[in-house]
Amino acid sequence: MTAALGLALVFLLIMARVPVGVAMLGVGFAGFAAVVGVRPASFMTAQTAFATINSYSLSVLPLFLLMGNLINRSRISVELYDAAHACLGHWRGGLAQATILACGGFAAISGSSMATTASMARVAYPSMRRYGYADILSAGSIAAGGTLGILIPPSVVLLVYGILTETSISKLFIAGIVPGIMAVALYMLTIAVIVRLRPDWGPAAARSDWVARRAAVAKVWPVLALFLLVMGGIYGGIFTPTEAAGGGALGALMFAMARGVLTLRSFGAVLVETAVTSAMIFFVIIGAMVLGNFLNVAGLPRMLRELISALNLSPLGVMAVICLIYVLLGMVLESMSMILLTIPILFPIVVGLGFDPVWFGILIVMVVELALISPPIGLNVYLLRSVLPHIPLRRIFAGVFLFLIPDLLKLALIIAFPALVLWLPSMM
Amino acid sequence: MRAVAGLSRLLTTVLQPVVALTLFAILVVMVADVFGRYLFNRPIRGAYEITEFLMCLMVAGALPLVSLWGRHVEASLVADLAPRLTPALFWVAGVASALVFGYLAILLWGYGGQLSRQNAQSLFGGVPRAPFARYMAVMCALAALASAIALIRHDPGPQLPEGRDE
Repeated sequence: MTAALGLALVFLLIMARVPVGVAMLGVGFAGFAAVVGVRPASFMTAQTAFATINSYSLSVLPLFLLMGNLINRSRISVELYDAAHACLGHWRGGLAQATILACGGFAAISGSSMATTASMARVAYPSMRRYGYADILSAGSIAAGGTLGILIPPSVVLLVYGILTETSISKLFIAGIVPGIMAVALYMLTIAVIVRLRPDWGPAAARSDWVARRAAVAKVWPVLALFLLVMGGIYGGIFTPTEAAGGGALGALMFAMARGVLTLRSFGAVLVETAVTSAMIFFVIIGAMVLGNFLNVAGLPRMLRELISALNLSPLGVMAVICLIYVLLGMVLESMSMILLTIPILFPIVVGLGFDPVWFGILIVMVVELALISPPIGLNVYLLRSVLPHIPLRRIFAGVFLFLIPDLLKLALIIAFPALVLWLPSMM
Repeated sequence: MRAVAGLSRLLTTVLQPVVALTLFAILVVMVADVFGRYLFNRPIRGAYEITEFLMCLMVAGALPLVSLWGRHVEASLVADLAPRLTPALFWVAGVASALVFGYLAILLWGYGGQLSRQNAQSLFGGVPRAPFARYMAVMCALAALASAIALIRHDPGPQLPEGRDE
């Protein structure tokens, strides 16, 4: 009862626009104090905050954020798109395909879907517009492609999931590779189908010759090099994720410096921005941990287990209910709050039912991807709108709607064949 | 109002270099440690703990900036649906943040006292832990102050430019 009351209160506060971390930490502390006493609650809260921040392994988060911010700064998105454009542009719908491919490439060195969406929108949209692409297809492909940012490793959402649940970040990252490639392929297939049905939405652009193609592709080698350094190092067991993040950030720094886009002042600005984003995420993580401790002592996991057995639900049935909960929550919460609020509640149940924590992490990311582009909150859609203000919101949502089909298909495939996720990490 | 502006400027002037330098130091220590270990078989002694301390300085030091610039993760549904409620909700959120950060500061200060009585030290260099808990307490108190400042003075902070537009 206390747990349900506490959860309702957290939800109410979040809806009232109280910062998510503040709501979770405040209610978590008060609830823990109500169940166990003020002294233990004080100790638990202070110790959680102290241990979370004074941590070597969690430096993985600021370092990956730094890598992403530096990459963003270096404007590699331009080269990525140019290369994909040169190879695919002459096909019908090819520029939209190129957008997806470039988003995938950008996602492979950046962990944020906001950054992927914002930077690709600025690069890809003008070119699609020039060749007479329908807004519905160009906006849809950018918004959908942007969600690849959190599925293809490195990924901030997978990092936060790994930190909260103490699941191996290396395995989570490696597990994201196959679903990431699958997502790119399914999105590209969707575009092919769309332009087959509506050829006027994505006319073919001019063909590049092989010399131009080779030159354009050659320019994206730093992306490949960084991805291989980070993910290859993790997969080969050469680096821990923390060390790989350090190497990736150094590589991104050298790359940005070599391109001459980084002054001392702008590097300082990138460092401050990264530190502020890290502190923001760390505070929400601390809040989620304190809330999780409260829900634990209040007996929520036991109550939910009893509820599940009373309802006689099969594990897959439970998973279906969980997915439904996420879809509903995705309508009212943005992604980070959604994950941090639900993981302390759902993770013990999921693992108790025998599901693999790595698989569940990937599943969560996919559901969050859906939330990123589904109305009414759809963060990526609003971001896209702010970058491309002349496209009506309704048309962006309509474009996004086309890409919900491959998203749902991908989700069904992952649930039906967990090996798609677990095969690669099992080889580590 | 001028005092508030001065206070907020003081916070940003002092904290921005602190968090930027500590984050850069984390990167340098990490890279030097990895290079030292793999190339020369000589890792940096105590790199693990140095990173822990730097993390504390960086993350806690950036908290007041998060509050000051209104960068906390928050939902906006009610505000979007009922714009007339927005000013009231803004105050509720600000006061709740100031209270929670203020109380967390008290808890962490007490925790620092506890660590000090237990003479808690880091394993490698024997560095006492208590001052770091107290530093976190001070930063949380500043975050509470920054939340209060943000109620009466809007400052979105520096925006990071990106993409082709620059």
